[in-house]
Amino acid sequence: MQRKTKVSASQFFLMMFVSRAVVTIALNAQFTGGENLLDSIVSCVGAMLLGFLMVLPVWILHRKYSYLNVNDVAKLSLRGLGKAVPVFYLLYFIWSNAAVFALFEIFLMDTINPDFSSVWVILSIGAVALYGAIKGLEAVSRCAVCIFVVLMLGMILVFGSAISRFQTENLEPLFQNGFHQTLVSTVLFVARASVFADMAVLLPMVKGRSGVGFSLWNLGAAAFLGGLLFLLSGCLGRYAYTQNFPVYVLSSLSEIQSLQRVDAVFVGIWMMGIIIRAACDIYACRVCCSVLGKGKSQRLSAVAVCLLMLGLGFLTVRSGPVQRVVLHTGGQFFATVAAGFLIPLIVLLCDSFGQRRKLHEEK
Amino acid sequence: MRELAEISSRVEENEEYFKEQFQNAMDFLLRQLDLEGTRAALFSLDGLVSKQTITLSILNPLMEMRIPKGTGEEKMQFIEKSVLGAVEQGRKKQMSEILEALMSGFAVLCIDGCGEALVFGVQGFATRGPEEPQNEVMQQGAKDGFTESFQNNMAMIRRRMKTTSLKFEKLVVGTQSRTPVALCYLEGVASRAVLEQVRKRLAACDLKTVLGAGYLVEYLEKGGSVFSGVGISERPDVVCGKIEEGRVALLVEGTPGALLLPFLFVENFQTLDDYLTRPFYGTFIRLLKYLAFFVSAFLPGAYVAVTTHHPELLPEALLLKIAQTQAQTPFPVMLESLLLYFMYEIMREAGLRAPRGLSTTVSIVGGLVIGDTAVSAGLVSAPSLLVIALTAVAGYAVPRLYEPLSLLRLAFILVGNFLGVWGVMIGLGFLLMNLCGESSFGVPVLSPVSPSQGRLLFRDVLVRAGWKRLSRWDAKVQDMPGSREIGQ
Repeated sequence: MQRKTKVSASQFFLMMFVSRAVVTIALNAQFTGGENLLDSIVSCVGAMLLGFLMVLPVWILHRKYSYLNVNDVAKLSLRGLGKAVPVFYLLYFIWSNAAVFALFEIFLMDTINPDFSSVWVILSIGAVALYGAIKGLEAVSRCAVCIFVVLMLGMILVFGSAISRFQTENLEPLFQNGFHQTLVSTVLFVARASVFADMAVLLPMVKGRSGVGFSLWNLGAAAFLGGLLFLLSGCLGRYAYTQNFPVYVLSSLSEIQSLQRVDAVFVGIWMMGIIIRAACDIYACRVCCSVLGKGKSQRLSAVAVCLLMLGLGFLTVRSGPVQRVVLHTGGQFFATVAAGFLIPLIVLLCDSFGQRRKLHEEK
Repeated sequence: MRELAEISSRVEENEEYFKEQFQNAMDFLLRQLDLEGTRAALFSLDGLVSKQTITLSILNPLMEMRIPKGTGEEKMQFIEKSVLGAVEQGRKKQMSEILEALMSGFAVLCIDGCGEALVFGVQGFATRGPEEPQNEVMQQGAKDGFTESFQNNMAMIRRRMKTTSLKFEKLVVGTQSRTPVALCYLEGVASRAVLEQVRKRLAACDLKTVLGAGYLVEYLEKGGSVFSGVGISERPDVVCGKIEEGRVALLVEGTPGALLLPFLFVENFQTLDDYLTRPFYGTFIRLLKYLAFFVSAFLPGAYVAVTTHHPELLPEALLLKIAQTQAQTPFPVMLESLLLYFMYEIMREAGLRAPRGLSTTVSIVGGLVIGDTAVSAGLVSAPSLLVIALTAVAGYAVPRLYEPLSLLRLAFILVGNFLGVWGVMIGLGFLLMNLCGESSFGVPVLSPVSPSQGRLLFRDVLVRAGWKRLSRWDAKVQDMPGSREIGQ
């Protein structure tokens, strides 16, 4: 079960950062649960602390079996029941990526309204992500590093030019409406982080100092999110509350010299991020399928998973009830906690008890 | 036709065999000799050998020298040791080897009673002298380039690298053409795994005829990549530089160039001139080439995308100018761009293929007359013409990438028209993914950009460091970040 593919910890966590930044861009006041975006900054810290806690079972399992992922350990310790673990991860990745595709399509249809079908854009993104997943984790992680640089440059360009609109009067006192928004935002930020599930499945393929990598990722993601929320509050004030995609609005207000609109650049960067996130998760699904199908027809499984993600994404946009389920923050939160914390914890406990029982029997 | 696996000890039989093999081949030469009562024959092919050398170094000594009496074998030994003095000579028994030697410009001597033939290197075919490479022009570098003769090419490399570590291994490709190939590398520097893989892949080449190095590229690289993992250079100085960094060069008979393996994407932007000028200027030129690549690949697509779907991205004054010119032309921007793109590619191809004397006329008629007339007639707009022209010129700043760039341009024009700037971005994502996923003999083609290593990036990628810094450590290609032994 030893895996040949190895990416460095820095590559892996930069890839995770890009994946995280992508969902951050789609933030809005409805999801964060209140009018004062500043309250959500505190949630960044909360989500970061929760992140350090949530990663523990995966981390302990990785220390114990550096070359096995949660699926493999589950197969060994839970036997027949262990097959349910990769199935859960498969469903989780399909769900979370369908949500990302759906949010982007909603954004295209709601805010941009291009003169061509948004379906083609989403299908093209899905096709490139699938291509990346087929090329392998090394290809995706290397690509993510390049996109990370583009993302940072783009963000500096777009938001650097927006900073002139920053007004301190837009900043409202913290917690003036209580702690509800902070709590909701914390749940949201955890719900949209697929890093824990990715780590559970892909960590054996990471070489180097994963602990440092995760810590830096967690700190960096919180800082990025906090900075973005601060900028949004300062530049847009209460106007941000009325917008479905305030981050985009901020980018569309940016001007660089004679270039009066740079929002297309912003959308482009967002799309590149979606490609990375989807490619990484399709690859993770390939790994899950290989556990279920004993390594057979992995490419075919990647195609199937990608089609399911896209299909569910399209359905989410076009059906109200499905949308309510797929984009439901509480549901996403529960799924993320289950994938990133509960399942690894159960596997870890079963493995420990199993070992103890074995030792006892041997004695 | 009868088969003879080994040379016969009877000259008559050998004569009959060769005559049969070279039936209807007027270049086949046979000179019968009598060596003190023993029958002998000298075989060669006209045009491949120097008749003067044969006369002076083989026939005259054989006729004038008194050869002692004895068996055919004894006479052959005497001739080999005391009569003939060709630099390249040896005994061969296998008929396939003898035939190959004969067709490579060797003369073959057979003596009655001896079961082996003596072969002499008396090549005398005409070769072109070294000239300045046409496709790799340098401002300051040496002016000699490779020729069609791989022996001459080997000499050009050896002259520049006077070390015994420099190895030239002979391989043969093409079941019918039996084209010689020299595998050139520095022992102890080049990776053994890469060498082994090159040998393996060439051995797997089942082509009948190999007329140029290009035939082998497909066998050396893995399919599916937009950019090639095999480089080519016409310059011996460039090849020496690459060999020094652990690369393997392949010199193929008949090709005035050498294949370089492994070949990284960033090498497309490196020229010898970068290293001969001062570092700050070398860096500036390097950055310009990166810019030229992006302009050449993405500008037409971005232009079509922005003017068709995102005019808001353009500054108002520029938008008005473009809109004004567009209003006077009958075609949409994409069609206009495609028209100009194909016109340019046709003119380029015509300029390349036209007889030398006419190529200037073709360029003038194509570039100035057609281009100017098309704009004046209102068929295409001046901004579109400017974009395509700029793109074409920018492409020549990175000539090694011209082929993929010309097709990428077309793809981006189409995708830009259908999906706007986002289509272009998705295309860029695909391209990046493709580049990141490919490796050349175990070395990621995008290394050291991604997987990256800061010191390498600021040594010879983003910055061309000075020679003092460049010489501080040996940068071997197989040690690039992300590299792994092939087969792992």
